[in-house]
Amino acid sequence: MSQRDSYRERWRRYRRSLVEMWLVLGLWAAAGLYAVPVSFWLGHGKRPEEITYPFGLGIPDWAFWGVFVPWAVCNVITLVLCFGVIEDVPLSEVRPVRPPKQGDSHRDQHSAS
Amino acid sequence: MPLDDVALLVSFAFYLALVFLLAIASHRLLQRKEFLGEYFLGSRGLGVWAFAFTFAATSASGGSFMGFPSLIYRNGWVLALWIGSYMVVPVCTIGLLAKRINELGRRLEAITIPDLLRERFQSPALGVAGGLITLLFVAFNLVAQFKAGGLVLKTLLETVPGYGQLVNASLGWLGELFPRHAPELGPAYWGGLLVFSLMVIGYTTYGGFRAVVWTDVLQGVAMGAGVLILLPLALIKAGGLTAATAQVAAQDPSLVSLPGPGEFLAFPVAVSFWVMWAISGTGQPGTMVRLMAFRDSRTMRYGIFTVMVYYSCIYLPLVVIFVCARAIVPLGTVPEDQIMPYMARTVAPGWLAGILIAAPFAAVMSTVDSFLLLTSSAIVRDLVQKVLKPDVSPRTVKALSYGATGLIGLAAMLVAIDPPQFLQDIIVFTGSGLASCFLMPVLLGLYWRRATAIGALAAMLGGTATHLAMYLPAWIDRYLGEGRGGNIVPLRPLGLDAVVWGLLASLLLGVIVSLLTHPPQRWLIRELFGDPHEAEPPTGAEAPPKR
Repeated sequence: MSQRDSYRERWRRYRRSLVEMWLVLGLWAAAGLYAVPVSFWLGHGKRPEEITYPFGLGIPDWAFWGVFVPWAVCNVITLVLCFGVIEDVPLSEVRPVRPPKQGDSHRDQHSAS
Repeated sequence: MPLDDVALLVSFAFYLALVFLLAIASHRLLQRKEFLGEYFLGSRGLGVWAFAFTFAATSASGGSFMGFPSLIYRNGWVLALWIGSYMVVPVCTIGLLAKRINELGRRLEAITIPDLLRERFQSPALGVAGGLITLLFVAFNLVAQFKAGGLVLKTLLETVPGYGQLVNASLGWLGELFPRHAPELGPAYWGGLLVFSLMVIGYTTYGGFRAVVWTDVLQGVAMGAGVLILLPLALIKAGGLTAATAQVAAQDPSLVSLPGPGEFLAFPVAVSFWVMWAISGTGQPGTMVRLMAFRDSRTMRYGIFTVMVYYSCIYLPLVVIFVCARAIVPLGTVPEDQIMPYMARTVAPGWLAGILIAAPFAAVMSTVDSFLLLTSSAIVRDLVQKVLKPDVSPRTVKALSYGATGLIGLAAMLVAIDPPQFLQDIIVFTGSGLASCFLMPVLLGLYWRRATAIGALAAMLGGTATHLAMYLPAWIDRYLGEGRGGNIVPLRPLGLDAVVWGLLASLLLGVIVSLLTHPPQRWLIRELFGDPHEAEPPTGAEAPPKR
């Protein structure tokens, strides 16, 4: 077994993946908690004359601030996640699981965690 | 025949020829590799472009290029929020699971998602249940996608002189067999369906996963190019976006505000769609299986980035294009689900319209081909090889794989001769059903050491049952009750969609039942999750207790 695929290393990688998963879920939740309420706050039940069009782009204000802008921000955060946070894993060194031989008693115990 | 129509057909034929060349190249490669791993998973060797485009193209079904444009055309700017969660879809659908699912897929030598669950939890029951549920939902979806493919080809082929007479003479007898077919069907549709089916079944069966991936790249490029070319043409034709939005607001003020015409997107529905696209999209076995196929984690990181750029270039421009379409083409001029090809013909010259019309066609093809492989892998790997006949010979596996892919395609084509009416309803039903079934068992299996086989089974069956229970009254009403022939609208407690309840039930059952049952075997957890206190395994640990 290579050092890069040792049990300790696998544990470290698993913990790191868990952190990355929570970061992604956090981004999804934060984007939703911003985009949906802000869009409704700015655009719900508005008459056409009450709607503004930021920067003369022809996009209603609620869609601009509620969807287009957070979309751009999420793209930047995704970029940071991809190239600054998510860690590489040596997948080519991953070896298939080999279950224990019969009688290897301590490895057949149930996990307590 | 007008010159524009000739150019349209020639460019479309050129595109199809490329698809078949890719299938032939893929088949040659298939001869040199281990069959099953290559046929269903491309030998886990996908690079950045192949991974990103097959992922994006498979996710973007016919709905993205037919259903979505028609919804924008009818409801206006509200669709920007409806599709808004695509801002996080690439990072969610890939980033949530990819690294762990790829690592565990290699460690457990899994080829399909039910396969992964069976080995992760050491439970044949999970593999069988997963395979059967995949078959159930994907079969529904395949019929809907075949119908979409037949309709697109009908639009195209109807311009060919003599096509009408030819299909009337050769396929008119089907009208006697199905006298109550919907008005948009008929010999012209059946001809389109036949051509579509033979093409997709042909290249998928012949080339396997790699052919599907390579054609996905081509189809992804066709889709992206189609949208980016159409965008400036539509803006010019409408006199700019400001003019288009003003024109649309004058037609109907609710087209530029929330919740849109007829309360299209009420607040709870907007929340549901935020869950549906990003989270339910993560739980699709067709996309999850692609996460087991990339070469290394660098590919995954660049893949997220590429899909992010791609979706940004597709979905928001589609909103702009079809808001312009509403300003250019008065409502009622053309059937709403035909607005994409109609716009292509209205604003672009013939040769360009051929490429633009190829976009929705490519979207349907890229979804159908991956679903065909998904169903045949469920039969060959999850049911035959793992349950019914584990000692099946490689030669038989090969024959079964080709046979299953071809036969499933033919069966879907036959059902699509007289298909259910509401395409988008069926696509939503199957997509949310698959997510309710698979997402939580996979997520718990990858990240929670305490998750047990019975817990995963409870999550899978409980999520599926909750989802089906939400739809049951609507199906009964659709086929037996007063709502006969109408849309399929599931129960929505608190205004939230069925998929939200399916996922919640699945998660709760998975956690509670796992905690109530025996913890999983320690050796397996150590192999899959590692151990902070032990660097190396004891020597001589092998000789598996084979099931």
